[in-house]
Amino acid sequence: MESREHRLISGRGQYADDLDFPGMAHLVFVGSPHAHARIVRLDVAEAEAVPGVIRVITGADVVEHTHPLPVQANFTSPGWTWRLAEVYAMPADKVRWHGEPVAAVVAEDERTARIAADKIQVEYDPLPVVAGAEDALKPNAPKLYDDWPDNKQVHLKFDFGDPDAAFKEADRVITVSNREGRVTGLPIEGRGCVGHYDRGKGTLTMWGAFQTPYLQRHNIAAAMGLPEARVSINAVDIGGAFGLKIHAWKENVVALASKLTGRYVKWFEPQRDFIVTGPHQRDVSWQGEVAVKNDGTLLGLRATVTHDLGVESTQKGIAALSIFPACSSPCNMYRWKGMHIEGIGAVTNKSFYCAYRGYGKDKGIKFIEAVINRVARELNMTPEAIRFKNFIQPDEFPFKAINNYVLDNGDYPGTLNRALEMVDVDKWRAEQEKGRAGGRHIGIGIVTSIEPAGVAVPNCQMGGLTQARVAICPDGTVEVDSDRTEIGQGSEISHVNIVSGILGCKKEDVYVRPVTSETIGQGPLSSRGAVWPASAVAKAAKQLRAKVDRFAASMFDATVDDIRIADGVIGCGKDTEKQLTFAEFANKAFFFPGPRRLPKEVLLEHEQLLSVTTTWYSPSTPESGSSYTTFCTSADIAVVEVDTETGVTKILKYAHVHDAGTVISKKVIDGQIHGGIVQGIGEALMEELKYDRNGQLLNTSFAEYLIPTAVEAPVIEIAHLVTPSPFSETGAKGMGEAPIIGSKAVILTAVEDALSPFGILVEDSPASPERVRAWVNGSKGDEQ
Amino acid sequence: MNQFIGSRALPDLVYHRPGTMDDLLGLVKGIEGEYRVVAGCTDFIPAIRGGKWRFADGINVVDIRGVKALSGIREEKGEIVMGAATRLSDILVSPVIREKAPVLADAVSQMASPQVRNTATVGGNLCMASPAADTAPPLLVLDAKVAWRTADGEETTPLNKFFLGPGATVLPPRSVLTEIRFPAPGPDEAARRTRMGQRTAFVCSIISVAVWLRGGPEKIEAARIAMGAVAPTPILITAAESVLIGKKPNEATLAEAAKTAASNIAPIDDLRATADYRKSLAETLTRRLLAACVGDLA
Repeated sequence: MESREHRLISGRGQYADDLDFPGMAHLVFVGSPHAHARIVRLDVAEAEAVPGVIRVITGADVVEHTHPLPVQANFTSPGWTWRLAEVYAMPADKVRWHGEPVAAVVAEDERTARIAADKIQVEYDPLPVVAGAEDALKPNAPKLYDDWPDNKQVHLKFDFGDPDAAFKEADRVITVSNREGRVTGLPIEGRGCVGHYDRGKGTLTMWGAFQTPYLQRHNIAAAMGLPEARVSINAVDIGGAFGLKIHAWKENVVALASKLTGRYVKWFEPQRDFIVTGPHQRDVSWQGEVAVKNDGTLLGLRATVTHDLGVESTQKGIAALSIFPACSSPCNMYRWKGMHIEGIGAVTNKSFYCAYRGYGKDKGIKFIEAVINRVARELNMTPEAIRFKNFIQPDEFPFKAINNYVLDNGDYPGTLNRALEMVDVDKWRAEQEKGRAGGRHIGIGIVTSIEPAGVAVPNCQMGGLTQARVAICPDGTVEVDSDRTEIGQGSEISHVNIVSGILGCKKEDVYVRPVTSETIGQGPLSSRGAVWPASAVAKAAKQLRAKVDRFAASMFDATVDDIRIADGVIGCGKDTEKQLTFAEFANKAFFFPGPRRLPKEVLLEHEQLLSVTTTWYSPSTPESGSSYTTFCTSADIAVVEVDTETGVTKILKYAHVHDAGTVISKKVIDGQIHGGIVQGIGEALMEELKYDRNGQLLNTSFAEYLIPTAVEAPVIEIAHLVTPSPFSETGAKGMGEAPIIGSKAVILTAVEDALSPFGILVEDSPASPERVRAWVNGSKGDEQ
Repeated sequence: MNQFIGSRALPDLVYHRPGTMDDLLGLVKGIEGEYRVVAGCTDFIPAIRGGKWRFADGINVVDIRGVKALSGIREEKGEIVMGAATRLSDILVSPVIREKAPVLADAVSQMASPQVRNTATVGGNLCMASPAADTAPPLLVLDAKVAWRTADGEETTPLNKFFLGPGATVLPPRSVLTEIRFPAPGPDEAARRTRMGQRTAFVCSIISVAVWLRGGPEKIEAARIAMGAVAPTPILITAAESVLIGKKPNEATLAEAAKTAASNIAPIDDLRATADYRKSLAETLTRRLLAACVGDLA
């Protein structure tokens, strides 16, 4: 069977924009030029008069025909703030961010829709703009949601361990702060889908860039007021997602457009739409203090992290939910006595927050890694020495951390040691010393991290839903269903490797089917693909293998212990006469002679089908309450050179050591590592969505919102350790987010190391050339 | 304020592709209604899609790439001549440019992406008159002239007098830029350029600088410094020339020249950089380029 990779490379991918149906209409959104305004008048007459326009859908239509977007995460706890705003897919009365859609034109073709879109007249009454979290939280700030007392959406307070004891024991307490800019992930493909409401059957079917079809079905059905069972959501080839395509938002307008017109309706957004009206992330600031002993022992942390969430998320509660991992992740992989962490989320007149690779884990770990490196410098220790002193040790697993995570296992010192073998830091430190004399500024950054993977939390749509089906077809090929949508992360090849390894069939005989809402599951997010869906698939494959052994034993008149399966051949002991290909075997099992010749017990147990559907649940979560199941380990070492006259940072060397447990596919892991590291470098050095005081997003295209190109990507040296997790079915650990977590932290700490002669603390990112130059200019005159 | 629309529709275009210079000039002379002369369209299409330019249906688009005489690079009578429709990728691989004016090839190598360079043209880059046009600073220090034709004749002007402001040039109505020419540099000349963007590749310059020196290690006989993205047009900065000419090119002289150049620009703050940062870069980059040129002359 042809592999996905071959199909895509030969140009036969079927992405959302390739979808074509008979009589298909096209939908284009029209957005607000204002960040905050009342809609006074919306006139669609001129647009509807354009030949080829079928109809215009306004916010008023959406409010009339659909329900508010459903709640996806809801947490209330004494002393906490947790608010959710009632919002529709399009507003009828008020816009709250630059670009917010107010109308959608449905026309015979996209160009006509775009021409008509320009003819929609909207009169706005501008309102005062809340331009950032700091402004939002000021007393008497203009409010985004009239029924809220203020703009604070979330305020969470956590006490982990015993923070007071930690600070009492401290030799010193160091004040720390950190801020990172607003960014978005940029899949190469924007969002898009086709919706078809069948008026005869009362069913809604959608195809497109859906990352979580099962959850999206629920949410679209809820907004559309349709019975969920009558809605079907189908993922097609997806050009990257990174968490950014878990939406059920504009998709509702597409569904409504089909319902109101009776047509197939397609919407596919240009990248500018994705940047301006898409999901954003980061944009947080940390204030805190860390308690340590003079020998480098880490004791405690008190910190508050404030998030600029933008408007209420289109995934209601999912933006706010990301504050949990941001607050928990500073524990990272070290022994701590106690922490008090508060997480605040403010709503502002910016585009909404959603999931993006990292989802808060990155924020907490980036913060604490910067803090630890600062502590090391203050105590005159190396970054590696302070880590070796505080690592949880390999014989302590499973380790219940103060933040309630149950760390599965790993070799934290071994991971860092391996990285230190790859980069001769002493040599680089000598080079650094020598360079400084000549005005050359080399910096060495060291960061270690774990990645909490495979989320399962209560009171939200991500409580641990997964389902898998593995089946042998009558022709001997094998089909696999799971909720792990292929979003470019390699889920198909991973499943092929798992299933062929367990069943003994040929890899090319395994077909991983596109994910649809028929399979229960929360989809690939929170790096859960290798944890939950992979475990469910492995479990199903093992059960199916047991069936194959049992059937084959009866066909060969032998016992199951005699059955040997390898490379697509089912054999019996050493008897070369007794061999069946999967095709021959399946033919026997299904048709000739078929079930009637299977053992009587098999039939009485209703086990005659070569198909297993099952699920899987994290073994560590039920008792411990750990929100995550596996914790892969990584160490990043980067050597950079900062040109202090221009502010440009050049990466001279980059090494990454990874322990994701059992390796299902090395290529997949290496691909994740390369992509994640480069994304992290983007966040560290160049990416930032810039809003002005009026809430206008200034960098709205690839020309202005800069992500690294191949030119900026360094040579990335990778090494793997393998410590299989005891908690997943295959021993694999989730690892999709780890590379972005480590890389942005390590680049920034390396820049700080390079700039240490100037006494500069890198407390803001991105460390863009201009910002670095400003730091150097603002430092205490010359080098200290 | 315009509605936010992620991408706007192209109007109905009336496409013309004349095959000879005479046909082209005749067409442009007689064309009725609004028209635009285009070549690679790498600015034209995004400007419409992004809502920067709006045209009514029926706009005439005159594609000059059918006229062979407008493309190609040759050396004649001590001058290097480039047709206006010469693609950036052709400049990059031209043996003449690589040998005689590597500074131009260097500039082009950092422009846009290979895909864009395969269609974008040098004439288009100049006619768009972006303050950040990356071919302009090296061409300015190479003392380039540009020529244009109308149905009624031909005119030539120094590139230094070509730009009037962002998007504006001295090109008269119903004319077509035909070629860019500059003297082939001699062995006692050196030219270098660089630019800064918010990243290295495929980005609009926040400043670009080119310098050219004639002379030797003992004395600079002539100098030119040009910059992009520091003024409404790419500019030659003559103020620093007198600091260099007749002097021995030592570190102090170069530093003073760089300082003088930077103090004679008045850049603006914009999305990409502040004026202060641009001035700071102007000095640093000019000093480094001068030193590199001096090294080339040694």
